[in-house]
Amino acid sequence: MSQANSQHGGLEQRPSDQELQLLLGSLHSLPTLSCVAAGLLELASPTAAIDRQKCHALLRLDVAMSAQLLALAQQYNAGCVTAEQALALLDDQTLRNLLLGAMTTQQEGPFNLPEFWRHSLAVAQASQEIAQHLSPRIDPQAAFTCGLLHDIGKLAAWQLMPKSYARALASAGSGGPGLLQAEMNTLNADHPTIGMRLCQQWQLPPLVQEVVWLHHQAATSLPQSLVQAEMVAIVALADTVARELRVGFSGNTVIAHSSIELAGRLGLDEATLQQIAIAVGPAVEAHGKTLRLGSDGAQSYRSALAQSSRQLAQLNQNLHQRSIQLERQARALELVQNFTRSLSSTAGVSDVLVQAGRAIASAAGVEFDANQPVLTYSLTDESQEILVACIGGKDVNWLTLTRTQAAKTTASLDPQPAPLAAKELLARPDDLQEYIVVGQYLHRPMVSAGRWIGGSFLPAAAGPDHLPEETQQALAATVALALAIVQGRQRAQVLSEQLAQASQVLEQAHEAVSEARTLSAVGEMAAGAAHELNNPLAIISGRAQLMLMKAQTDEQRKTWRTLAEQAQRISDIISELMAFAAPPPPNYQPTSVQNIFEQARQMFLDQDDPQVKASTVDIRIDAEVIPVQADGQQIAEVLAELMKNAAYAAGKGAAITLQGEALSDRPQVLLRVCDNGPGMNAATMAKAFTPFFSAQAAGRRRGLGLPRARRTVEANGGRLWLESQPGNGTSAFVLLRACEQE
Amino acid sequence: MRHKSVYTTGEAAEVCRLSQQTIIRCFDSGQLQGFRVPGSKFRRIPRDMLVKFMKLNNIPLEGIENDKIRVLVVDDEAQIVELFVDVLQADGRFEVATAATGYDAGVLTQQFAPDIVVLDYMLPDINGNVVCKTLRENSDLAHIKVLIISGVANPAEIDKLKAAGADDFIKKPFNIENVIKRIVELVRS
Repeated sequence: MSQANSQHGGLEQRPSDQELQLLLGSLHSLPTLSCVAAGLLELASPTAAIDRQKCHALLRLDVAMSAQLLALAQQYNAGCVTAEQALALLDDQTLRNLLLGAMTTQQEGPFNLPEFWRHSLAVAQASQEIAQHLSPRIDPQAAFTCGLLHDIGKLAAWQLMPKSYARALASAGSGGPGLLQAEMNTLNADHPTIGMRLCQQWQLPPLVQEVVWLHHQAATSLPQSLVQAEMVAIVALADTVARELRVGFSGNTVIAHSSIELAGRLGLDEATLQQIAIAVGPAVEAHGKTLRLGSDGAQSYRSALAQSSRQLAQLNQNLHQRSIQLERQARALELVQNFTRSLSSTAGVSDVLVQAGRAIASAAGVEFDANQPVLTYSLTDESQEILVACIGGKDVNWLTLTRTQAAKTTASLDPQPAPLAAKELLARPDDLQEYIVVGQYLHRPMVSAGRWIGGSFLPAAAGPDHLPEETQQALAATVALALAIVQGRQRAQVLSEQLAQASQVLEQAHEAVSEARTLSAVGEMAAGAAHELNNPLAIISGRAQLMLMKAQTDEQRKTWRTLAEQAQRISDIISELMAFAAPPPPNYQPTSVQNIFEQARQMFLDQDDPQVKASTVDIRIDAEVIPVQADGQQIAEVLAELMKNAAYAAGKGAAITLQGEALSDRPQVLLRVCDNGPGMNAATMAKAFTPFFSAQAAGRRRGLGLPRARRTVEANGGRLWLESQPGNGTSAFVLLRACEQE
Repeated sequence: MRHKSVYTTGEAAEVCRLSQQTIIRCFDSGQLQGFRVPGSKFRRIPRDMLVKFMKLNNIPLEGIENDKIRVLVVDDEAQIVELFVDVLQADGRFEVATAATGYDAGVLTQQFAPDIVVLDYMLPDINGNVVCKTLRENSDLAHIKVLIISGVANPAEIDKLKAAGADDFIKKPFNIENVIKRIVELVRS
């Protein structure tokens, strides 16, 4: 603004209307006196609260600041006319800015600012007094403000064109044309007009505008549509009074109408006028003291300015610190955001571990690669396993350690520091509840809801870019929560799978039960059928035997014998069918494999069968074989049946081996019946378990042996199958449940 | 009772329809010859000594003399019954009565006083084990042996029958010689 002044200050010609408008357009504030500015700066401390009382006391008396105050307040309450009202509308921040923005001017010249201030104060005071005397309609405070601002145009002209205005003042003073005319000559506009345009631009209330514009106008020639014609008249009167009293500097020596005349028009008598006139002087003195007019404002202004600067510098410093803090928090938030964004709703424990490792490392400002990876791990209560992620840059390697086994792992692990450190640390999991440092790694546990659910290992040397400790901990808490959620989800998934399985098992059990019911119904029917069939068979058999006893010839004897035997054979088939349909339930006992084998061998060799007698039976049992949970008798029968098959297949000199094997990874025992016979081809093997299929050439083989054997083994909770190579003998396998170890 | 080879004093008393005291006194006095179980003081009377004693004292011999084994065959299948009748009569050692229902079996047990009942398990009106129990609960009939014959041989059922009082079980179809052997063994035990 001062630049604009210097530009136009050297102007010799009158500015055109447009130039004048432009100039006014660039005017956003008016300067005040140094003493006032100093006082305002002192009030505007950036740290303490503003003393509004004192503010009000200064602001209402200052021409420039009042105008600015009113201008500011218009946006909250258009039409607000008193400093008190305006002040109430502003918050502390705006007020502070107003106070801190107080300007002074260095201009010297004929326009005596302090005296101009006095003149304005006098007019203001007089206006107030007059208004008080006149009527309650007119707000005295409003009158004060109007009076204070009436000559604002002069201040604006002085600020914008000090040289031109100096000439205007000079030519007005030395007996030339009045001030108004001089202004017109020099500036192409008089101070009311300038002031009015300024008020318009700053959007000051219309009341103020009218007063500024028309206070020199004759009362009779005032336009009709004024807000308050009386106010104009009051201020005109006040101005005349002030000039008559020669209080302050107005630059205007022409008095058009005497105060008495003007007062009379308003309805004030002389006596009242005298009273008013007398009161003005002391009041102005008092105001002057408040404003500290006459003191050397410049010094105090400078020191106030310096103080203010220091305070601002401190404020700036604080803000800078704060912004650094906020920046860090923003970074932390960004990390958290990235972390959560990287996980989908179907993320599993492994996903969380990888993303957590990256986020935590980033928060600690730590670099990681394949040689110095970051480790994260997850623990759950229900599993003894610890899942460990080794994150080295892009690649992630996975380790699974068991809590008890971790102590046993040998040096066969890849000898990189991270897995070793992990192995060492996880070998004593009770220690991991604290932060500890092993080798170059720092361990951070992840705790959620008081439970230790995992943790991370980071290279202990913290990077330069690390976030503060509390932030890292907050991040760790977020990550721990995510891990806990995902673990919970995994648990829920396992449970739901188990539930599905259980449902399936239940379904199968239902089916089994209904099948059993059907079977028992069938069993009953079968029993009835067996009974019905066995009666006629008994009759046939009995009659044949009777005839046999009376037979005369060999042929007759043979016939009758055959009839009896065949009837018995039919009956045996029926018995086998019934046994196959409803196998007797197993009586589970812990039985040693040795016992079963010996029983089976006994049953086998007891048979009165030449094939059987010609066979040898060998028993071989592994040392680690433990007792089985099964019905020993039934299993022995199964083995005896298998051995009988073997004997018949192998023919003369059959060598049968009974073998018992323990299975290392499962709680089961494998029994084997091997023979040195010719073996079976694929076609025979496929049909081996089909009831009534027999590849045997001779002998009483009824074809239910293997199906029954399988039924029995399955009823005992096991499995039966055959393996054979033509020319290599056959092995029958029986897999049984082992007894539960203590 | 008739076909035993050795009798206790109680059994001898029953056969002779005398009191046990009398038999003991006769035994001790030497009128009735017998022996003591070695190592104890229990008295035993061989069959022929008892017969001799009865003849000597004019005691009616129907308790002991009629040495045909009395068999009551109970089966609802007529052909089976007929088979048994033919088999047993052909043998010659047996006297046979028949019944087709449980009710008839009861009546004939009283009338015929069999030594053994050969009983089909599944009768139209009653189950074999009920018949067994009835026989066992009646003290007069408790000495009668029960041989169950059936087309169904379920081990659990067999155990139940033996628990109810059956003495043995034979499956249809059967070997005639075995059945006869069994009947004689049971009666003589």
